[in-house]
Amino acid sequence: MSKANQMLWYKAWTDTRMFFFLGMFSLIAMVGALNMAYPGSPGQEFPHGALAVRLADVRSLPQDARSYIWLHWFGNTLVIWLSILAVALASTGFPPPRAATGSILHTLALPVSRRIMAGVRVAMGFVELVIAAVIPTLLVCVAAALRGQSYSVREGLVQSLLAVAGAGALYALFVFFSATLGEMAKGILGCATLFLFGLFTFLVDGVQRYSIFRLMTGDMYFLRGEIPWLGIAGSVCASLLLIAGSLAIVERRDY
Amino acid sequence: MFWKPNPSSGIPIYLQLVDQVKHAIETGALRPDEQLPGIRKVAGDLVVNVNTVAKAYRELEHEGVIELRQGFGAFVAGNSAESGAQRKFLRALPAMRTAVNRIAQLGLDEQQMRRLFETELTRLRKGSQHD
Amino acid sequence: MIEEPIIITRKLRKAYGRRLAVDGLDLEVPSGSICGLLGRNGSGKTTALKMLMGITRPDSGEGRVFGQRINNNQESLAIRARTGFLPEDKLVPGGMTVGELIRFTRAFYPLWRKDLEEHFLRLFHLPPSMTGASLSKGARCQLSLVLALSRGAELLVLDEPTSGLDPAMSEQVLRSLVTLAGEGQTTVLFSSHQISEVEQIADRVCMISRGRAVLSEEMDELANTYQQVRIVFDGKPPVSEFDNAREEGRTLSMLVRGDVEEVVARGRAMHALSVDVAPATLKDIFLTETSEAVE
Repeated sequence: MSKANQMLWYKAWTDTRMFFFLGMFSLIAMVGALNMAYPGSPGQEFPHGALAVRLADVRSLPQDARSYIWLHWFGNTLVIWLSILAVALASTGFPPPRAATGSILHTLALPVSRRIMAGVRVAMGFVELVIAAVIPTLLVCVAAALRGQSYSVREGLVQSLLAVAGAGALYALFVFFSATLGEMAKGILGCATLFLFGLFTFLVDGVQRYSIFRLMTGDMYFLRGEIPWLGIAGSVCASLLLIAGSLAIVERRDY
Repeated sequence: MFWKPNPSSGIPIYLQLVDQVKHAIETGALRPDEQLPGIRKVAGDLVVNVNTVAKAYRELEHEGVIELRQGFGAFVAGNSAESGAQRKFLRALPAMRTAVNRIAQLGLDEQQMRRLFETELTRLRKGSQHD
Repeated sequence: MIEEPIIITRKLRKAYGRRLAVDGLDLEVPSGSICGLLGRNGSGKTTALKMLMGITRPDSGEGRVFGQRINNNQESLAIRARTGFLPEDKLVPGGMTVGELIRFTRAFYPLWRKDLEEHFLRLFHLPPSMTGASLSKGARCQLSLVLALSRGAELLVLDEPTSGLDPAMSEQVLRSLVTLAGEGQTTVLFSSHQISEVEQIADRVCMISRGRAVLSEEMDELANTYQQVRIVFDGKPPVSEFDNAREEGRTLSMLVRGDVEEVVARGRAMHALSVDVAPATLKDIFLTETSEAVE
């Protein structure tokens, strides 16, 4: 890799490492917390169902370690934290439109194509998202073993990647927001979007199947071993379109 | 060696430099045949454009105040007694050569030529005494 | 043999919404020169410089740097590879330290001048381990300068290079510019609010007013082109007979561009008591040519 490209990746890293470390730290702390709180009682902890798990499903779960981990970790913690991390990673390092000022002028004057610069930045964030999903999940499996229980590593990996598929789409969406909107608009629209997603997930029963949060919990895989290919495909397509659009916009825009 | 020129005085910077060099020569800060600092050095010291200094040096050369010697740099024009005498000597050389060649063609030998020269010198001296 | 100018623009135009920032700008910067860009706030200087660097795209008109088009992505990249840019807001990315930022920028310029980098770091006393965000304003300006001037670039486009610097540092920066241009491989285009700076080191001046170039000349030519004329009359001065004349009692003062003999003759023909001609300073010229009343 040329020195210049190395530097682009390094800059993307320095721009995002704060959020990455915070996310990792929080997730790892949660692993510890969940480990200590086991076995708990899901019925009491989630009286209205977990974030993306319907109440009926919660009640129907067997009282074992595997269900405990799935409900708390994949069904709750990872969905929330990975989503937050995705939004955070997408929100920094992108030159807001109409920014006549700011340090990005220095980078924009460099002999690099904007597409490459922004592309590296997007890629870095995504890599961090994957690591933040996979590593703590592996720790969960280890923690389970320490308590004499087990959670299949293979299952854990698949579930964490499903979580990434969902979070990745969220990431792509907020990258798009960052590339197109000003700070205020981005904040408002961002909150509104999350709210709407949450709404669909919780309340509107028929549409729940398509909820991104539900995709992240991987409930189909957990309950029936079915991999939600459609959901993954939809998420990946949407992500690619949003990212491509973002790069094109950054390329064309005036600063 | 030079003062910083005043860019806002209305007098072009290069003219200020020309005056400064002339003044330096008058006061003896710069002597005949002494080398001036290089154009880039002056530009860097005074923080003025290289072209401005170059223009000043060209103007000084045009006025005969300095000489630009290819490959060596800029020198104050020499007008000391020594180099003046040297120049006169060189200028007189062709006239002497012509005379010597012609006299030699007439068939005189060295001793006779010397006596001729002494005779003329004496005549010159005597002539100037009568002025 | 006349070389092509390093920078040449024709009728550059840029509007932000309804505000016309640059309105038909014609600019020429000869190779190897130091060109000073003067203009009041909001005159379009910064927008013009950003357009040269491909940071902003012109609505219409054309511009070429090193013969490459400024509104073509590929060619603009080629321009940036050979140019050192100093933005108006001397902000630097906050997440990296001084040392990291220098290493970062250096990676993009194979002709980086380590000697200049070291010279400026010593001059400015910049601590290599401080992050960009925690630098003082003056230090940020200095760091921006290090990053722009050490690139080994053939062209330097500097938006107010001495702003935020104390007079001693300013002088050092100007000296560096003079030296770089004097070495023969660098052309400098810099904008400034300090007219004396431009007078001091520039060999070419360009004045921008309301997005258009109102003056673009060799410094040496200005003395021939512009003169201050003062005419004293016996009674009320005929102010309407002379362009841009200021009336003070019985005296008319004006800046004359071009044929000053004609103005002198006219004054005498109107029985002036005295006619004085004096060289015009760059400040006089600037204030007159960029005054809002002129249109």
